Amino acid sequence: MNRAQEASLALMILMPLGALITGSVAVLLVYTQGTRFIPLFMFTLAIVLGSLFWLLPPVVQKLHKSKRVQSDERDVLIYKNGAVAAHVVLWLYFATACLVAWWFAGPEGMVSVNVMPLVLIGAVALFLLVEYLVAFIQYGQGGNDDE
Amino acid sequence: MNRTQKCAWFTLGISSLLILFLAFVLRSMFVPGDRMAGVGLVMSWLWLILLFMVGSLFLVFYRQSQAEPAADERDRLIKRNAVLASFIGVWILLAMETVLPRRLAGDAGSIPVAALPIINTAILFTAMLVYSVAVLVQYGRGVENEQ
Repeated sequence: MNRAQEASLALMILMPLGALITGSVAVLLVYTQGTRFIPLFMFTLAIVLGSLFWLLPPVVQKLHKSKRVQSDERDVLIYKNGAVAAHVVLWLYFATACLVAWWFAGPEGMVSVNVMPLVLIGAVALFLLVEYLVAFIQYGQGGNDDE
Repeated sequence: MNRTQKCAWFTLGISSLLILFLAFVLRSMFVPGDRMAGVGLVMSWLWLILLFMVGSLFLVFYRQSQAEPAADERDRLIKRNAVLASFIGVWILLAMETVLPRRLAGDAGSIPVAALPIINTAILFTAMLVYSVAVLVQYGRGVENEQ
């Protein structure tokens, strides 16, 4: 396993777990204590960081174009591919969530608005998992080139 | 106007029509006694969308002249940027999907299960709308060629 693979493996485990724990705790705090700044901030942080973290490598590359190389063209391409694959899985997740809700509650059933934030947190966790899994696989395929 | 621009106009038109259609269907779910009243209107909407699709697809694939350019590297760059914009749009819309029902229905509120697929499909079409607007805006601005 090369260094890039190790990094994506660590991110694959840590990022979804971080988003899941932070987001769920924030939602539980809102349920039990009402809407306050800290849980809302935690929830927003989990969503924004989890959903837009894939923009970081291209942005860093653009900012440091004339300076020291942070990530090369191949890294950016790998993370972009990961983001595209994760967005495809995201749609499948939401389609499945709709079907499961329909299946359990019936066509005339109702779903609590309190479930929606948890569905979104699940989406962020799955998104991160797929994104870094794809990166891990791609680094594995061409891993020997940069060693 | 090249094929990418034509496709963007087509996507803009079809996604706007579909969003309007879904908004109409969603509205009918929350108005008592209105759910079945709209069946005839739904059929006319579907005819309208079908006619628009047939007409637009003809225009997209019809070459105005032999000089009409095919897609080049610049088109691919424009499309890639537009896809990134639509991905960011998807996450903003998903976050809104979580927050808005809670705001509208209250903490203990609930929404019909049947509304979920409609809302998610509307988000998909809005992402398409963002994509096409991003393409057209980039062509309008002339796309900074230094990229």
